[in-house]
Amino acid sequence: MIDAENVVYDYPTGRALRGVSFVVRAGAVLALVGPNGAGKSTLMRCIAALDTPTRGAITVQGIDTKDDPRAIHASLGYLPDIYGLYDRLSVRRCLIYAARSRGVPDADAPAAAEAAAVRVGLGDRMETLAGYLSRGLRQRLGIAQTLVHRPRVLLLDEPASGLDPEARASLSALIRSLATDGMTLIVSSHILSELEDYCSEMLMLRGGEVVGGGVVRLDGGTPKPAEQDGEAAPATPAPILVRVAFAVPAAELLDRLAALGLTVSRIEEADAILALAPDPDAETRTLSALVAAGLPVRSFAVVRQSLEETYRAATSAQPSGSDR
Amino acid sequence: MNPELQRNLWLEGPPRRLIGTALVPALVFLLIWLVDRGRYPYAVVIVGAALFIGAALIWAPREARAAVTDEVYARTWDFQRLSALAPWTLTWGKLVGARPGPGCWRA
Repeated sequence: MIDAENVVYDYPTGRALRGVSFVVRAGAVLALVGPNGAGKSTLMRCIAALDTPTRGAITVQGIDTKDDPRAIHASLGYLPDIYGLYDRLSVRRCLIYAARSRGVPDADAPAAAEAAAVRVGLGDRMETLAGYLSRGLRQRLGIAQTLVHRPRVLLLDEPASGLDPEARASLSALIRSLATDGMTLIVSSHILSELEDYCSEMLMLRGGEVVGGGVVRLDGGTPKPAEQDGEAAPATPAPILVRVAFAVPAAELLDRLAALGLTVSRIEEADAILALAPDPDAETRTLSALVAAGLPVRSFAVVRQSLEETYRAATSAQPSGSDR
Repeated sequence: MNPELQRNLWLEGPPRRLIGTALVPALVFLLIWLVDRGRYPYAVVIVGAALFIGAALIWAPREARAAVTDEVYARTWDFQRLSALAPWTLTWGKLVGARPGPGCWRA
């Protein structure tokens, strides 16, 4: 769906992106994470064909952003981190204008505006001027403007910035519902807990470079070949973490687990966290091996690694790059 | 209608202002007729040409430029750049419809 290959972007003051390559599969909700100045917004602007990479190429749904930026604009929705609205226009007129300027036929624009407003929960405020909306409702109107032409790809740059907890929760619900409809989303934030609820994959940037080996699947699943849109930098599956509790504190537990060829991530008395290869049969195979070895297994459960843990694990191994 | 022109009319074109815009040239030509009374056959043509040059070639581009400056200040310029409209459609929508807001005076 989105394929970036060796993307370099230079500002007059310095290099913002340094050879970024990744593939986002259709239907993924990708968390684009990294510290301030990592290049997240620049990368999003390049994907949206607002900025042209100095080197490298980005394709969205097979269209190169350099060759046909207008087709890219018609095929995706992009909400920048800082954006304005036409404050003296009503919600209805903002959305009708957004629809018509994104190529929706004149006759269909009012219905598209209505549908987008209902989608984001602004259906009852169609005649309210944008300037009179609260911060959370303005954010919803901004998202509705990006959705009104029914794009298959949505880019949201720091969408929860400045929202109160209630507005954040409703934004999360909205993003989950868009993902359920099969939309491909890239959501950037430097607050990882915001992204935890709805993201299926993560791409980490630091100093304009991809860290952690590329797109990381957060569910620990192995990407199927059919899910990958290209050859470059396919999603790297994260290891499956399993918490195993033993019935009695096993003496020499660490040695016995190591003898079975298992990678022990952490061990505390009778509990051990094992890191398994991201293989669909790994859990069954490991449990069988533990039981066969005579270890008294009391419970065996997969631990979902938090976004923050995955991020820390990936970035701790990599030296910090320079920010622009 | 051109979407950009329609947006400008929504924003800047309440009926009173539109009527005023039509009345100004009408009053100018009325004034010429009152003063000239047909003595100088080319007076209307010359004044009309001057009005056209002033409005279409000086005033409208200035307003359109100021409107773009306003968009940058209001942070809606990226939204405009994401438009799927052809450049000329966007341009004439601004040339015909744009009136500057307060942002133009900061430019």
